[in-house]
Amino acid sequence: MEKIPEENSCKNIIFNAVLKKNPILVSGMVIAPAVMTADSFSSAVTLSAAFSLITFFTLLISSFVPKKIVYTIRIIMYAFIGALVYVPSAIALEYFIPDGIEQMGIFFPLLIINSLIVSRSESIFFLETKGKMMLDIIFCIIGYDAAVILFGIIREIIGSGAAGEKIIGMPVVFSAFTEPFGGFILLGAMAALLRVLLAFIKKVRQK
Amino acid sequence: MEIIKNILLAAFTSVIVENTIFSRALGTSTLILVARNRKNIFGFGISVTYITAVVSVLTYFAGKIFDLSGDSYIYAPLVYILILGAVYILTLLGLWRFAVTLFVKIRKYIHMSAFNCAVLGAMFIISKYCETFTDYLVNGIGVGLGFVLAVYITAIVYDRIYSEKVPYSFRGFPLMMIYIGILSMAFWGFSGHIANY
Amino acid sequence: MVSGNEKTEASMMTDMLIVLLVLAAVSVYYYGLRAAILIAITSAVCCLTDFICIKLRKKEAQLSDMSALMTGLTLSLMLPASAPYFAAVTAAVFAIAAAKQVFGGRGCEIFNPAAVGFLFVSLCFPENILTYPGYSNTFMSMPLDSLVPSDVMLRPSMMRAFIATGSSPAPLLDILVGKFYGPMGTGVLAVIAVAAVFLVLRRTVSAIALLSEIAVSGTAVFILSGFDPLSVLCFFAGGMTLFGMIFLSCEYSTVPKTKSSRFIYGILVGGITVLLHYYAKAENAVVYAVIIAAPFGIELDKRALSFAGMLNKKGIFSKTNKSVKHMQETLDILEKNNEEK
Repeated sequence: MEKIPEENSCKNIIFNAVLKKNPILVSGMVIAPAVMTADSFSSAVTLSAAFSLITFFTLLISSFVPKKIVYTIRIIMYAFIGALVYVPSAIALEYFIPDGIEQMGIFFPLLIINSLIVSRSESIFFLETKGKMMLDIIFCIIGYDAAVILFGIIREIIGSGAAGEKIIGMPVVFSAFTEPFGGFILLGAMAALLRVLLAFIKKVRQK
Repeated sequence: MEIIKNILLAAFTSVIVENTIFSRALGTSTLILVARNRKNIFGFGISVTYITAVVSVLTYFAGKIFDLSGDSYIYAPLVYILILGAVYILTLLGLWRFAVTLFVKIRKYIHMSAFNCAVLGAMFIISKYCETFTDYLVNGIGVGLGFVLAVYITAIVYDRIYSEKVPYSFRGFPLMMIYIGILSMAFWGFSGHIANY
Repeated sequence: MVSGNEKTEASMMTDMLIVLLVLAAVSVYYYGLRAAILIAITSAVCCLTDFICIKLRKKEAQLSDMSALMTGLTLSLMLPASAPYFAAVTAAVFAIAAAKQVFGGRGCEIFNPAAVGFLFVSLCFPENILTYPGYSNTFMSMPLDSLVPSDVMLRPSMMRAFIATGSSPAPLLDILVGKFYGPMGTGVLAVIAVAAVFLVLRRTVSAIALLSEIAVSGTAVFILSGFDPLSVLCFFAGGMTLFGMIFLSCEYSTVPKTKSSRFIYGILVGGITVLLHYYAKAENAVVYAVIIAAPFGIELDKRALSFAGMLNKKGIFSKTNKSVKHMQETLDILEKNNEEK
């Protein structure tokens, strides 16, 4: 699936999970809910809460699925575990943030099949211990959440001229960025910026 | 005549106007993976269309048996995943039993064509908006075809997106997002976009 | 180039620029100083953005490269004369940055930058970009504020009325000279038609692509409007259809390179335009159509080239046969492309 990193130190795992292999901005996973629903700070927070809950518990449970089962069958089990985890998560989130969940619509249940679950549940093959695997999973989720929240904030500022639902004095508001196509374009631009940042970090490290 | 016209209109709507990728962004992650290899697109297209068609027909019957509206909507994913898993396993078994060469060929990407957001999303959307059996079938096929259309449109410029001439920070994934964004901007025109003035 | 081996890119660019400048002059004649300012701002911002992007990419900027100026002129002619200045700037920056330089700069664009820029602002600020002021012949008729004051009458374009009623709202003469509500420089059908003939004769615009586009969309509208020639003219003049077909779809850097693919591409653009016009009731259908058809143009080129390569391998056609001269030219392009790689 992925190349085996030379050094599996904790620091490296965290750096890879959050920046170098950021789930959404580099690997392009779980784009649909971000592009379609995360158009403001609050909706981005809702999305990341839902995503974190479902992904973490699904991965936690599916790490007990024996790896001897063939991949074709394993993937159904992951999806089924995801659907099982969805039931309590939906009840919990419905209780805490009912409005946000209603806005997400079908994109909330769609989180049960996401490419992060599939790719991370396989990460035990190159990360030796279960502890490292958990670390990797947690920081992948954090990396995704951070990227989505930043994405939501930027989108809200340039798309509807507001920050946290308060109107701030933006001279020009580009309403197209709140639409899905604007989300795609903004995501592309953010991914490019992350590449620039990573190139910069690499340069500094070499010095 | 009227029925055929309606079916054609519904098919056009679900393939082009409500395109899985360009207007709903469903399954974009899968698209990025599939568009890499042009050789697989045809096989992938057939398998994804087959799965969406079968699955949406089964969703229709599932909707008749289980009541998934109201508070019990939280169990809908469970039912849908069971349907999807059953179709997936039965298809693989059938292929393995009757067409081994095809089975070997298709095994590499069939999990991608079954377990992606486009298929599961189609089940949710169809069960929300469709009523009759024909609706379910036409829309099921339409979602699959629309997804394949999007994959095809992305795959034909794949080498341009990854070409050396593209600046490094945009090469690959970022440019693909911008490309899909611009195209979905154009497909937006199909949804009868009329400004509010 | 297949349709003119002796034609260089620079001379094609000059032809295009001449025609665009004539159209710009016409729009200044109709809308006065404000039109001139808008054209200047859009062109200047396009050139500036292009320059900055090239510098950011650490490449050499070439003075002879007029493509950004051409994008700017095309883009400005598609805006209404009442367009706010920030909208013009947005369109210019977006066109050059997101549709041209990101894809690798001049010659590597997939979509026409002007079409993308216009589409973006028309979706961002529809109430400013899709309403139009009336024409007048006095130089200072339009106020010069960024947002035009509310006492200037702004109306939806003639195309909206045409879509709503199905018949031409303006008489023949007005359509020919562009006296209707619409974008600054895309409605003067008489001038644009002359420009089209000029560009086709100079082999700057591909005759095959342009004629197949016009034939397909013209015939379809003629039939669908109940055999009314005035509707066809209205369709071409309003909603920048003819202008878009010449300057957006047949612009030399994004049009397909082989004859067969140009023909199919033309049919595709024409067909999608009509489809959008009648099915989706889109106002500037041709802009959407050009963007949707662009990836298919690339694919058609690839197919044609690989087909020619296959024929050549089997030795099916010889170099002496004149009827396959076009195939030979195609092969030349193939070889040239391989050399570049």
